[in-house]
Amino acid sequence: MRGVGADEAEPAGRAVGRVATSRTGGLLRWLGGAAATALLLALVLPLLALALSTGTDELAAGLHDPSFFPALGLSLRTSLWSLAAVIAGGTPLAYAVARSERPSVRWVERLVDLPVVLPPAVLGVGLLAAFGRQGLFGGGLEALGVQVAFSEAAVVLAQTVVAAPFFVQSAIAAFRQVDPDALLVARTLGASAEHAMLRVALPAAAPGLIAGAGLAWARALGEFGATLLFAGNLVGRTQTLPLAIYAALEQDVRVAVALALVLGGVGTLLLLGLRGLPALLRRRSGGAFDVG
Amino acid sequence: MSDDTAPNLSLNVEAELGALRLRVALQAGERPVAIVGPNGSGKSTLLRLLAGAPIAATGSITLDGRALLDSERGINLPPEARNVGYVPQSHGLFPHLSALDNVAFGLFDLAPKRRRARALAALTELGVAHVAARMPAALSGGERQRVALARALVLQPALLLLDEPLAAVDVAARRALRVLLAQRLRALGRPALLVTHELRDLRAIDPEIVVLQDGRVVQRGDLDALRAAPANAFVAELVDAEDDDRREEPR
Repeated sequence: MRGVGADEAEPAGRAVGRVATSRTGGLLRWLGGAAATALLLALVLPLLALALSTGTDELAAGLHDPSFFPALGLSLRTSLWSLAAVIAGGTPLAYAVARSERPSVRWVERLVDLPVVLPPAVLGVGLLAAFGRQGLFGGGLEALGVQVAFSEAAVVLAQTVVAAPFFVQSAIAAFRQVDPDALLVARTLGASAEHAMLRVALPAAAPGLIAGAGLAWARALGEFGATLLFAGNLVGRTQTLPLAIYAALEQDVRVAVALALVLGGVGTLLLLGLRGLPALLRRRSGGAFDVG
Repeated sequence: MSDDTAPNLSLNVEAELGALRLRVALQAGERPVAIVGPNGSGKSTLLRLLAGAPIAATGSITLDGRALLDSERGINLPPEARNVGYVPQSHGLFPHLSALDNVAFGLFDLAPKRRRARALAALTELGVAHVAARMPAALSGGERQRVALARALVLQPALLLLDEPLAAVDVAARRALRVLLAQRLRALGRPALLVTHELRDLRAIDPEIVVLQDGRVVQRGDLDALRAAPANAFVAELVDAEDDDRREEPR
């Protein structure tokens, strides 16, 4: 195989080089594959370990724990409220950001990302500094007879702040994908600006909006740090499922594991549902109109 | 639908958009007007401006005696009040609606049954009734163009705007669509502005040609006039290209 002639010296050299490259390439590929597999395992390991270490007895004990149903109910209620707040404010915000051509919208986008990079503990203390009894608005609100901190409203507020970026970023990306010329066409066909937004931009962006809403909901459901600091851990009032897990861990690990399994299961179902929903929607709208 | 030979559309506008400074005056009656020019010369911007896109502009646009834009009197009608049909280069089809629902979109004052019948009739006229139930993503370039055209025409607009109507259509479907487009435009009886690069389109449609460069009109006239005395190198090359493509496409 090896060439010996002068003409082939160079190609042979290149072949050697290629062998060397492919050897380091193979090593790199192997290392990369191993690291990727390890990370993937680490990602599924917590849920897997929970499922494997929880017997039906433990699960039953966890579900019968007096803190379980109040915590589950509170978690569902508050996370749905915060999801509603996130969608109600996030949709018009994302639409305005996506449609704007002003350079200043970059700053709005960065502001929206702030809660993602700030530690939840910082957000919790920050919310206390705003709404706590000694906070910026605490005195004024107290005069009106409203106490936000350590209430269910505080839980909703903490979840809203933490979850909103996930929805808004996803919604901005979805609205940016909508063809601006399609919106102009809708207008020339007689639709007002609001009409075009509701009937063209919103449905065209729906898959991205739904995915973002799911992420935000999952994030709200799992919120822990900011809630603990700003809303406290009051059973039946502000103790959400993640906080109940934390409280149970100090008394009975089995209960904590069972509660964690339930919360993990809900999150997983949400994720799977979200992956499937947009495709399902598309399929449904695809065959909706039969021409009679 | 139209009255006389008086121009239905007259515009005299100035607009600034990024680096582009658009300054155009033109009139159009029943004969279609083709806007040609190099990329970035303001062709698409001009159509968007006529459609009512939010572009800051001064001057006036009058359609059938009605002011769409009159910056001196502070008039700038929104797109929905202009009665203009617009087919953008991207087609602008609504991705979540079937072809039929796309065409029916603008017919909201009709009862559902009549709405569907009218939309279906519009699709039939453009030879695409068979794709009525399909979503835009499942259509070919030519089918999309026909659906977008049907959607613009179904409202019988006072002015039709077509941005490169044949650009995204594959070669096999292009000739048939070109013939159909020329027919439609001839039968329209309304002013139409179309942007095009293709000399074959110009030959088939026989419009008045307006050459736009750097936002200004550098020459206007029909194809023969442009060939007889091209105003500059761009126009001359256009004429050359025509000779080329005649050789390419023997009849």
